Amino acid sequence: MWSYEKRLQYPVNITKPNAKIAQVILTQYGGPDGEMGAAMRYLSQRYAMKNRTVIGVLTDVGREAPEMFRSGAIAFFDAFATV
Amino acid sequence: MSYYRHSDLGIQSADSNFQYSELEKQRQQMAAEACGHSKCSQPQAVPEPRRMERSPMRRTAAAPSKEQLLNYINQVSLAVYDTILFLDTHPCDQEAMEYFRKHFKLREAATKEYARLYGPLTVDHMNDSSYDIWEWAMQPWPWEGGSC
Repeated sequence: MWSYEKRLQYPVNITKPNAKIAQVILTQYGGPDGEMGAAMRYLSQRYAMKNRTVIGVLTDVGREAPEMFRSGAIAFFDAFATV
Repeated sequence: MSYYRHSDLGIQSADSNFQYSELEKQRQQMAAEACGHSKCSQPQAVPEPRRMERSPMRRTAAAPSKEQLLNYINQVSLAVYDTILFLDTHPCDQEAMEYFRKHFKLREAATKEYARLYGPLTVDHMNDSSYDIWEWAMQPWPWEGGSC
């Protein structure tokens, strides 16, 4: 389905770990409007899609949505591990 | 315990009597002693791995630095991923196809080079890696300060 790349879309350098912000970022993972839900919606909407090109877009965007929380993951884990 | 045998998959070992070199045996022994478990070796217990014979020159003076190469990979990857999204809705655009092919090749070459010099970014590049240990799991992850 997807493969992990040991690389961030954008370099992250946390100088001040913040547990409060880490909590907010965590909701971006799996909350009701989180990346996980978004990715699942994109990918499952493909099955009823009539337009081939939109299926392609949904596949690639759904694949990239969890990739967005990767930089969030770094921020979260760094803050989590340090506090 | 193994869940399958190679023969089940139709894979024949080229040489069933294949033996690790003495150095490798010694390294495994050292790792096993430090960890206390014969099948397991802790990351800190593994000594500096030796180079594989097929890539004797791991780093040369002309080689790009880790930061330079990673920065370049970030740039060509963005080009590739954005072109993928464009091509999804413009499947017959020849100019975009050409752009995709060009940058895909550049990305492949750069990630291969990165694996050879500094370790694999994906498991697909494990074969391009110069070391004979499982660098994929042994090298630091992004949140541990690796490759970012």
